[in-house]
Amino acid sequence: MKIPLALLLYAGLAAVAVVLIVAAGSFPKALSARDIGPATFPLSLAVLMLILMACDAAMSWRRIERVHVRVILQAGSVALLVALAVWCATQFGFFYVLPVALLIGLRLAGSRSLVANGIFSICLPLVLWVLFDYVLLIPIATL
Amino acid sequence: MLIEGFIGGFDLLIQPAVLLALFLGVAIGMAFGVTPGLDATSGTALLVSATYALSTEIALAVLIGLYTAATYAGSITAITIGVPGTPASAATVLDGYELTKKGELDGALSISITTSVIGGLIGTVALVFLALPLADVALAFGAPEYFALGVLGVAIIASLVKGSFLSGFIVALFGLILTTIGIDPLTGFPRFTFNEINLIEGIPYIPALVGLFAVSEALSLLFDDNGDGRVMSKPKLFAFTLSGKLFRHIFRATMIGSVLGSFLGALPAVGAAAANWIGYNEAKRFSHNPGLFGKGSTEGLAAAESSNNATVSSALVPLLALGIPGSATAAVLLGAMLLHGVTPGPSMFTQQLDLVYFIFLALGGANIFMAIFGIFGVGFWVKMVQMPKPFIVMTILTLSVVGAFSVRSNVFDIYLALGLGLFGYLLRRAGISVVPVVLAIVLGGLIEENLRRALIASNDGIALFLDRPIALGVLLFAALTFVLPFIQNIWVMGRNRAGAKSGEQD
Repeated sequence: MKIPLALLLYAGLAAVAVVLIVAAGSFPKALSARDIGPATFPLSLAVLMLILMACDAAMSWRRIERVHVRVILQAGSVALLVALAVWCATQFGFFYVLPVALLIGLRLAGSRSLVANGIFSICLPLVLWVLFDYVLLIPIATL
Repeated sequence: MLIEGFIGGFDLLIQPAVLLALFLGVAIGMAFGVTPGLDATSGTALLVSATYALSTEIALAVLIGLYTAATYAGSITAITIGVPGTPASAATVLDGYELTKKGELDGALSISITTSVIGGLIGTVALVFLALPLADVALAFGAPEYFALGVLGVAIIASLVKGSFLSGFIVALFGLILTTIGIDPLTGFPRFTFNEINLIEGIPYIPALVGLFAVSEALSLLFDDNGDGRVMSKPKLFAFTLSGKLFRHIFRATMIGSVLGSFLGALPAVGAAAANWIGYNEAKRFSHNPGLFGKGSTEGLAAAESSNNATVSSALVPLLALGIPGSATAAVLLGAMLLHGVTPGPSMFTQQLDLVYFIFLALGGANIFMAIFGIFGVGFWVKMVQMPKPFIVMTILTLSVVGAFSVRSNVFDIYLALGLGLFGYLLRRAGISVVPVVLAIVLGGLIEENLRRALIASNDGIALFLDRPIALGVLLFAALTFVLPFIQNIWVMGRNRAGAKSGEQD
């Protein structure tokens, strides 16, 4: 099934804009008469974005390229898998989870050489561990 | 004072650790540039957080080296496999790959490195001569002018994106909205945080940059067709074969490309990709053999390569002199500078002149290191072109996770980068550029804060801009960038409808 992806994205952005407009209603007023306050700037942006999206959809909806729904599902699945790996890393430790995640990721991405995948899955975490924890002094094992 | 700045900048550069950082930055930039799909922007975004714990000079040296070399290295991919490693080397494919097919790979790579270095050095000279006077003028700027410049920066980038012109403005507005999340700078009220403590400080820009550039790039590499990466012939490790005669032959095209690239790069939003094509076309126009262009012309290759590398330095003119990034990579560099407590803009030229000169000199130094890599080890980089895609994707995703996490040591930032990465990928697939979102995220705070400061300081409300001719002029120009394409679009639509009607009547 193919869908007009740009329109779907616009619908998502419109939903965000509406939520922000509603939320901005509860913001306090400006501290001084000269200031526009915390709500006016984001409100103006949200309203302008809604207007422009309506204009663009009206002007170009016939020309909008249709994208297979598989594209969205594939990309979403990859993002979810990475998020799952990150969650696992917070539970079991980054440098324990990373080699396993890399092995699975490489296989899913189409790399069939087990030896190359194994070497890469050990070397990359090792390089990162040495680089971040010992050279750059940025602790990432705490992830 | 300028001499003092130069000496101060030179002193900063010649520290062994800084030179080593610049050298490593160039090496990393070469690796990013030769990888199809990766470019200076995504490379810089990935590396920014790794430089977090380093001193300002070392961090800037790494990033400047990466930025300079990645733009050049895209040409290695363009010449060897006919796929531009970066958008900035799209015109290079035309003649570079034709030369390779004729069996002149070593010659093409020699022209590429020579003209890239010449272009890069001329661009650096242009940066010095354009940024210093511009910063002098900008010293008189106040909040209204900075608000106007911020609006102009976003508007120009948004107006120049491919596809539907309104889409650029729409995603730029979304980027600006993202910057309003978090504590309001003037009242201290938490906006749109929805009781989420991680949003109190707002959307952190490093994870946002990593997500929008690097994660979306990884997804694009994974699912989109980026060429098969087949190398036709392999160069020797030392492949430099440029003769004096050939150098004289390409000299004019190199100068045309370098000068054009230097000036085009200084204009916001024009960038290396556009300069690559414009330099190529102009060299063709002034060539004695225009018919050879596209069929393996050494002049065509020289013009394309010198022009895109000349923009590398000159693209930093608006960033350094005004504090407004003129390109996506400059936006990432701005993020890096802010991370290290350096605020680019005219005040940098009075308070941190040695750092300004350090940046000038580091750009020149990066070109020299780039020449060493390009002349002595180009065969090694060609091998990297053949790196299997799954390994590239997994490396980018891993570095993205680490990069998003390491600045604040906050897992929330990783999820944010992944979410924005997915959003960025879908935008790309829908034919909408992510660059306006990034620029808006970087400039959003500056725009709102300066607008509100200007209004608070004035009794005239929004009419204050009538008394500020520079701000008014810049705002009118920003409005024109929106209105002109809008009118043009409506006019084209009307003409198409009229054409369709007359077709039906016929």
